[in-house]
Amino acid sequence: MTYSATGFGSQDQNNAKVLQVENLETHFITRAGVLKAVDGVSFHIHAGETVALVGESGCGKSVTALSLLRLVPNPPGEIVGGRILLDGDDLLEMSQSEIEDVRGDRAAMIFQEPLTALNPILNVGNQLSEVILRHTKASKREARALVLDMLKRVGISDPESRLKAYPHQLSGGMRQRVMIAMALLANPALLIADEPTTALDVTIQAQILELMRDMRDQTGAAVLMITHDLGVVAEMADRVIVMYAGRIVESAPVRTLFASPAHPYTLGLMRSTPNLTTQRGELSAIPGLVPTLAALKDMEGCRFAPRCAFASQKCREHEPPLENASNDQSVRCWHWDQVLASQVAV
Amino acid sequence: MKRSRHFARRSALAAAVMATAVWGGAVQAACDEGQYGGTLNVASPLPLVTLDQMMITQEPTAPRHAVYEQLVALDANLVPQPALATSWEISNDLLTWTFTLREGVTFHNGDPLTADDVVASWERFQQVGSRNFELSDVESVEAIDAGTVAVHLSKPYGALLESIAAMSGSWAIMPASIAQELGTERADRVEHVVGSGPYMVHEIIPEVSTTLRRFDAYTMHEGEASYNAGPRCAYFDEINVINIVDHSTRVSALLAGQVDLILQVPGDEAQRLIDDPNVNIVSTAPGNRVYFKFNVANRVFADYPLLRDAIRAGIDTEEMMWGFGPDEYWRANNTPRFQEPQWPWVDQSHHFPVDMELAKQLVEESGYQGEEIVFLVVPGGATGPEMAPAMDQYMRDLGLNVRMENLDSATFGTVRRDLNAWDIKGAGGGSLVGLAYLDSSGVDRNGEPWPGIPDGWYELLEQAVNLEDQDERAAVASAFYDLHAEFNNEMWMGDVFVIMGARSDLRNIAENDSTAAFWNVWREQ
Amino acid sequence: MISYLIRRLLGTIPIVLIVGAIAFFLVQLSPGDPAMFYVSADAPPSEIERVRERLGLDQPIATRFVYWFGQVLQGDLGVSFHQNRPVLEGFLAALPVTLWLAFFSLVIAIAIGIPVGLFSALRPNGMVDKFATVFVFVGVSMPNFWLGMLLVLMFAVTLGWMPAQGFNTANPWEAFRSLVLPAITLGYSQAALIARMTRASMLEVMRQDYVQTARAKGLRVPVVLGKHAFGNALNPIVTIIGLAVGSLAAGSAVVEVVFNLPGIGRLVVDSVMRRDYPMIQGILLLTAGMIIVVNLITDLLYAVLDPRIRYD
Repeated sequence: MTYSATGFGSQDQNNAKVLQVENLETHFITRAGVLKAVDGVSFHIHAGETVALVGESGCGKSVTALSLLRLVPNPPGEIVGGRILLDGDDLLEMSQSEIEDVRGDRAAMIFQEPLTALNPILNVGNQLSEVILRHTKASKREARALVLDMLKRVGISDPESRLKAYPHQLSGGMRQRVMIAMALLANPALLIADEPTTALDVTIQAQILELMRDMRDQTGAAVLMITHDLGVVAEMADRVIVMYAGRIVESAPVRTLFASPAHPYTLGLMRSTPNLTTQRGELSAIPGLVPTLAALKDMEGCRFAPRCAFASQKCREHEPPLENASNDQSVRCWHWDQVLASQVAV
Repeated sequence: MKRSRHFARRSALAAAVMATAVWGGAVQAACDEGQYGGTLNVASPLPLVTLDQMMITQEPTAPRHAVYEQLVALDANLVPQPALATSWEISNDLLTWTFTLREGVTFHNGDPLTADDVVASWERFQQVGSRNFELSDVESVEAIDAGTVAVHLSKPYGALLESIAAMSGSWAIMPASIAQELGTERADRVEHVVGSGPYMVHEIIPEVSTTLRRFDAYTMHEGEASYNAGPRCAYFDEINVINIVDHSTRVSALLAGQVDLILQVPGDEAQRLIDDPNVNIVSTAPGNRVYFKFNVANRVFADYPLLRDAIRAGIDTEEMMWGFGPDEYWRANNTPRFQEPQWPWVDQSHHFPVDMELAKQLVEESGYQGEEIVFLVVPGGATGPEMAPAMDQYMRDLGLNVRMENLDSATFGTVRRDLNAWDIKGAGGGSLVGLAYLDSSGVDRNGEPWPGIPDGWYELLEQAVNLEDQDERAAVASAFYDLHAEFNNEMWMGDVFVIMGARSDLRNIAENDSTAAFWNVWREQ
Repeated sequence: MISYLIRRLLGTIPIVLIVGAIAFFLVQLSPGDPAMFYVSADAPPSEIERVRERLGLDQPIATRFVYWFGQVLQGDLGVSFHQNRPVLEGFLAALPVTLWLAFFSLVIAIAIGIPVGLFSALRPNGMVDKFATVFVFVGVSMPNFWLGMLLVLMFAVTLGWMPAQGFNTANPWEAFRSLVLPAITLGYSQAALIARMTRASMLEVMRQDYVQTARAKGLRVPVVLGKHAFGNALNPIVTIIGLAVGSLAAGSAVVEVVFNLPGIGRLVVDSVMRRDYPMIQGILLLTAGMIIVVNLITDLLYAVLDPRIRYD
């Protein structure tokens, strides 16, 4: 299998870490008990770097993204531990007012479904300019100019007339361009994109990804891309973090990961994803389902063990630590060497 | 002044004086007794939509009597006294009554009172007067000269003065110009409501309020202030009459000082007045009589007459009356008091014993087969709904198959006229009914005599009306009691006193007048 | 939009006429004789017949209906039996009281209902929400007249701050004071309904993605709630306010009777008690028309509040 991991390769690793997440724990407190949606997640992103967070639905990647800006609905969600450092400032230590200052300004988000993520009763100009009016001292007129400029930059034609348009009057691609414009208006150091292309047609997807790449290059922002689409990962990411059941199970540069996934789950993900060279019959699903968070409460061993072809007794009794498989690849598996070896055999 | 009282036999079985009224003591008032000035706010449960004294009947009467005057006016004993007529004479054939008009009287519009005004008013009254049927024996009214009017009858009518003095729907005297202008139109607008009384209309806001102001050119009447007759002193500059339907709200308005005088406080609200030092409770005896009427023409009580006796035998009148609240405000009395108050032989000792065993035995004997008995509750406060539940329970205790029907007054008014629709109903009315009661207890609501009236009924009535000797009248009355009891088409429960509430700074309220006449009343400053 | 408006307005005509016909027969076929109110209790049948004639009740009902309907089509609602003046005049005399009462109680209902709903939606099952639940529960279950009587006892009789009854038109301040207690009485139950609807609608909207987007933009909580969430939550709230306006404009019989306000509600009650046929029919017709107009305004408001709704 070959993925064309285009372009941006490895960034300068000496860049400052824009985002550093340490041991993040986000729990949902429900009647059924405490559900650990994000369980000890640590990672970092450098300026200008794009990190993809991948995994199946329910693995905790979206909750991780929301946790970064403390947007997890509370109740029932609560960030119970860890640190989130944005340019060295711990977001979890901030007051409500301070975190609100960070949101949309130093760190911005792009959501999955632009139709529902945009407010249906406010026109586009209003929704865009309020970001500037909130975070800068610009006048309404200046804000409008900045908005128009940004709309041009994200490739919206006739931006003047779009300002008065309501979201339902725009096409899907156009709406997502507006979302991206909205996120970039305040020139954020960190851009979190939660499945930004999932809701779009394939052709539009490509345009949007290209736009995002351009924007990242222009702004030099650190990008966290949440997706379950390995195609998108290959297009966009420098590094990939794979999550499973609230845990990071593998982390590696995109080429390394595609070339030699060290975790059986990553391997499974790739085998279940079609591409142009996939042969008939080669596509295989990972057996079983992601365990529910409730089911995890009593689980002692590796969380993937029940679905894993490599699982041993050890796996079912003891959870493996995240350890380095190589210099830049870490993996949470007792048997990662077998996993790598199995690929050579294939 | 020559006064002549002569009761001729009354021709029709029509009714007579229906006043919720007065008994005993007269109000003394010379117009220098009280303090002048201020506004009196009066609240009544009934709306005062019109002041047209000729046309409407079911409204507070005092405001209309303050504006309009009649030739004669009733005193507290219901005896007609001089008003706009100072004296009168009757011809020997009893067919012509000649009235001398008071001198110097002016109407509120400045016109002087003349005989022509009386004639014009009569002509309008003939067309629109809601009680003109009482004066159907009047052939014509003639202006003899400016100060003299003759009333010509087609046949002798002894109660002519009482009928002229009727408290509502009566022959009020208004300027000829206005009577002619109005014709059959109701006098609703200020410029049309013109009389000669102590107060004149200032403002009418339909459904809200009516404001009267003192008429400075008023010509005072002589004599003793008593009910609608005698001197009427306008101490207040202004009278404001408002309509508050809800009893509780009316009481609250008085307690809050928004109004000074309220009419018709139900017994269960009386305690609120007693508890407040700033208001007085004015209990106006004898108030309303309450009773039950059997349908003796059709259905159960016609088929089983003994059943009427059964119900009477076991009924505990006092128990029924407790429905009206504390016993200071009612009097149990199960005899019909059809005597006029000026007659000295008032008998209130005629009580029937309560015998439940006898009652049950009579039900047995009556032959009653358990047919449904429709019990109509008389609507409206202080005459019936209060004691209906106890009555309903009592009849059930006797083993009767009772269906109690609570109707609103419009429906009740229609249903009670249908003698195939009910068996027993509540009834109520002014206590001092006199002649009216003598006549009306023998007829149904359609004016038809009840079937099976005992022999001698009409003869006794006629004697009661025409006998001059009081002792002889007493004997007749006693005989009529017996007849009434034998016929047993009505069961009398007693009287409910009409309670008024007044701010405690009001003086000289006529305690025996439930109409809340406000002339002669003043406020202690 | 204009053509829609015209279509809707034309559409109301048959509705009003049908309401009129139903009103006529409901009223006139119900038992009870209006003439009873214009005769004395002991009047002979001939006198009652005379009054019936004067009121036009001697005609067969079909004749009366045709005549009345014909007059209505010409814009004439007839003359009230009781007030002896044109029905329209009586209606218009009573209308201002009712409209002012409706206005103030609506102001109270909205000023209390919406914030209570908002704050209880902010933290479901929090302290505020629990108090609000009690507030709403009491509001929807307590009878109007009872609250009215309690308020009168407290603020009119005991404290003497407010008038106990009536509509004092001496000056605007007195008129306003006359309406304070009735407006609270009437507004409270409406406030409870609005609070309940606001809470439910806000909870629904707060789950929406665009609220998350607004928060992700760093907008302050009041802006998120007020501009982004509340604007979207308004539709069902407007619906319930529209219903409230409709019923308030038709007058609240109970409150107007308890506070003795000479408005439409009291007029209806009195007119029914007196069997004032022309007045009842007229009021039913006119209030039906008013409610239809309020509904139309509500529908148009939806389009103002939500650009996705268009009437073409």
